[in-house]
Amino acid sequence: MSGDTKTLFREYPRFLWRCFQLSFVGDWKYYTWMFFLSVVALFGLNAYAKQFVQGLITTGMTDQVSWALYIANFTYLVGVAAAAVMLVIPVYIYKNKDLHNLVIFGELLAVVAIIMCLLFITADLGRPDRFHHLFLRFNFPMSILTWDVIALNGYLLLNLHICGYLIYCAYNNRRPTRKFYIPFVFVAIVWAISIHTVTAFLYSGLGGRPFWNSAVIAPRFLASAFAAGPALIILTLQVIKASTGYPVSEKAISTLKGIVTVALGINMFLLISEVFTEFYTGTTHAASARYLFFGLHGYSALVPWIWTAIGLNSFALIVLLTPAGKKRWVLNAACVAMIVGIWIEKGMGLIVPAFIPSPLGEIVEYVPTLNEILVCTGIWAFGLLIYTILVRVTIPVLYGELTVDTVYHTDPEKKLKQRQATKEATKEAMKESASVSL
Amino acid sequence: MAKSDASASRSPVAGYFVGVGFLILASVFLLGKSSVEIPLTEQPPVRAEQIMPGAFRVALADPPMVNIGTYDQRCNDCHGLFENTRPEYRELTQHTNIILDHGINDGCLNCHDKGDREKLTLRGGGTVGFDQVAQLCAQCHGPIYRDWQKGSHGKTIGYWDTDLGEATKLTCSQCHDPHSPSFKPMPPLPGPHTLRMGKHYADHGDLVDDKNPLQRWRLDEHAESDSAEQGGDH
Amino acid sequence: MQLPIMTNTTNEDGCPTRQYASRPGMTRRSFLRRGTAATGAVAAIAASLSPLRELADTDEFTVANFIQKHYKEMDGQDMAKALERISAQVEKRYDIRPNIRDIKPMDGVEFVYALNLTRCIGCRKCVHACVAENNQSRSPEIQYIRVLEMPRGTNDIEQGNHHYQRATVPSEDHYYMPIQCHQCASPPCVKVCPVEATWQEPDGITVIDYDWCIGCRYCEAACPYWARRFNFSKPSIPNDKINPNMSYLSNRPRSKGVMEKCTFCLHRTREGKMPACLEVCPTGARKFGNILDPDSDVRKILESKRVFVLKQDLGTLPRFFYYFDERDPINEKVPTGTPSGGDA
Repeated sequence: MSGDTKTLFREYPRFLWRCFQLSFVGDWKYYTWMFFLSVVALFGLNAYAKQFVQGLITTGMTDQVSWALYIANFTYLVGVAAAAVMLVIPVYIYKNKDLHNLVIFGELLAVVAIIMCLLFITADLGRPDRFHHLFLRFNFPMSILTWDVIALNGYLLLNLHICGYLIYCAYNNRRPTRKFYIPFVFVAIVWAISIHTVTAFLYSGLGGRPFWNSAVIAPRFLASAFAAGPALIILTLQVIKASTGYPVSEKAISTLKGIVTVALGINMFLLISEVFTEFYTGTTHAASARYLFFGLHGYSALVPWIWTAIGLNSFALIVLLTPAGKKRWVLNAACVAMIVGIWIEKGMGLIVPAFIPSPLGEIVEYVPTLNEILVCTGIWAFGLLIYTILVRVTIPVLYGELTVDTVYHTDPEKKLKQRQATKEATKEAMKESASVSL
Repeated sequence: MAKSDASASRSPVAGYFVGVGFLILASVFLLGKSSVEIPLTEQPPVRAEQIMPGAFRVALADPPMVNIGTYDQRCNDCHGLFENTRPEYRELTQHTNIILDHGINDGCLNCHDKGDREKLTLRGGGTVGFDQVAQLCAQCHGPIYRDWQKGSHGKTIGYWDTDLGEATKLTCSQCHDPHSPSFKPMPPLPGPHTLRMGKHYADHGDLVDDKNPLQRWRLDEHAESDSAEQGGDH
Repeated sequence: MQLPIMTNTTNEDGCPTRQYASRPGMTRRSFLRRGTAATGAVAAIAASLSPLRELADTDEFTVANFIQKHYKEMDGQDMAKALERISAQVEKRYDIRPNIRDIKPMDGVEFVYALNLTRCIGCRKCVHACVAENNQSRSPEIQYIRVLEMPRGTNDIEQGNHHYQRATVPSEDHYYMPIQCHQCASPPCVKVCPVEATWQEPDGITVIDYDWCIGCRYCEAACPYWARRFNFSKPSIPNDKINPNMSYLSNRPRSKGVMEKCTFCLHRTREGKMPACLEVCPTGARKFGNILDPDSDVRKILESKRVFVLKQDLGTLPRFFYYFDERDPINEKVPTGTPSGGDA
């Protein structure tokens, strides 16, 4: 065993190197896609360099609206990361067979989403050069932000471990040892709920911001995340299927569709609860909500956004609940609608309005600057770039095309032959134990 | 992606395209602006004398000195020469710079002592010096006087900790002009001009803020509607 | 780029073998191809970072800055070093040698502010005296005090006008409410800081270590009184406007990307003096002192006047109190022609 372990460790750098090499292999579509993402990411890096030199004055933020697009994207992506759990729970708790081979893509998405979260937080910091102060004076447990630091990084490590372990086992033609990942999977399930709860507590714990100071924020975060996240996964899986031929069953999609429908329904219900409480009581604390939904004193920059979001989400919910949702393109349209709708809801609907009016009643509207938008799209492109690479190297490993004792084929015929061989081998293994998990 | 690796080997020129693309991108970065333009508004200057600390006005000392013309003079230099026999309520022929606006307290000798012009007169008889003006004022303004004694009215400057330095409790006439005691309106110093400032109230509640870079579209909108109105007139 | 290609990877029953093909040699063409791509990528990354050239002449990212300890962990020597570094920085930037100290809180002192809303006329002198005293950035503008013009008949600060511009103040239909840091006894801003860069001192003043703040602005979101300000860019102060009387925790010049706030002028008040906003107030509406001293003005005001604090329901326990006088001089017209006896 120890000698075996040693080999495993010695092989690891080679594994990483081969993955790195493989990430440069692809057809012209792949190159175009990666080049496009690199260009957008570099524009973001360039914009961030400007921000680093000049300060956050390059953004549209002010002392009045002191958190905006960066934090909005961060919040949204925490939701996407947490939503991976919606694949994990059916597979590991309810032993769902259809999602079995897909759960890894959800976990990889979580890894990428958390990396993007951390980048957005870094972009939002006034002094990223003092990041190490977090390790020197960590205000735990008083500051919820420190909880979030632990939650996010912990979740990143958990998922890196789970994905990394499973993929590396496949690479080595080994069956994963349950005790090395199953406990982590269950910790990750609880952790996924906690990352979004803690992020919601960041906001709902502030008494000075009545718009956030509501107990429904955390459940609403979870509901919207479990709608937008799996919706994103539905689209991603279809892209993966189309571009790599990786099997994604109809049943898997329809399971996810069910999750999305329920979560979106709960999200809409919580939104209605929130809106009722704010407007029926009609206290002065509803000023932010009035600004958001109807405009305040002639200021109404967010009104079109929030109604667009409500429209998109309602459309998605109606479509999903009616037979029309059975058509694939309708489902996809609904997914896009709710991804966009919930993104708006998190950004323009949750972060920005809490600052308008300011605690002293001043109305300063927020409009992102071009530089700020470039940084955001750059981070998104960078995230997609990583995700593409991760998927690109994972699939050959899962197919047995890239293992410790094989060499990656570029010849389609040989590849096909190899795939069939792996399939046979996997079937054998499945017979032996019903609980092999990848 | 992986499916069509074979075609990748058949299109070896991709590397060139990517490389050239990146080089073009690099030149775009180098030729482009290396900084972002920031819409900062010009700050209205505030002069040092507008924010001078200390007493609001200079009160007469005890004994009072008055400058009429070129010399500083004591009150009794003139008033000691002759006895006042004229009626109390009349147009002033001297001290015409004084505007008396003290409510129903409209007679000079209500406060100034008839016999000794360097003293202030008290209601029950007796006089106090000009530095004791609070005692005079207290005769009518009882509650204010009590507030002043307790420190909730008036102004104390210098040191709050009297072990470390002197606390100067300003007296009535160091803020109020005794002849016209109510506080005069004054122009306010400039308001806030923070980054991307919001609502700029004009008195008539117009929402347009020409200083706010984010509201320029509102200006355009106004200009358009204005020109439309003018067009209608023609 | 390609992975090493193998001529024969599976034997007849489909099992992979451990046999590797020899790695194909790198052709000149593939080398050129890879070289172009790699060069392009490196050039693009380097060029995208080109705005960082501007950092060449900054004094923000020095080793001394990087290794400086948290305020509470510095001993006398560390502090002396830090003060010397800051002095040199100020001298270099503003061409003036500052008198900068680290002034500790006094024993048996808890500062409290009281503000007489009846007397405030909204002249904004406090705002600008504060800017001058505390070396706040002029552009972009940072001010610690906001004066609200409030319509009579309401206490709802959301109805206040921040931007009133009048020929003269006060307006007869309004009263004026200056708002600055309330130095809460239970400060939400301190609670949320992830790196303990802000804390409450024993004399009740909430301070910031400007060299420790990471600029996350969580405190700014948490403050219900909008008392905290962020340096969105490098502050700009004309050299002739620098106040050389400085302290580490209050008015020394700040850098880009950190928070700042009102400290009740602790470089003045911890030496027994009154804060700058009080000294400049023309109407004496501002009152300051040690609440633990039974003879202080603020103690007597809290005992004798009807005081209130803003947003009491949030449980922040402000040390900044507002009060009204019993009568209002602005709108009260003294009747003329009747015998005296008024006490307005």
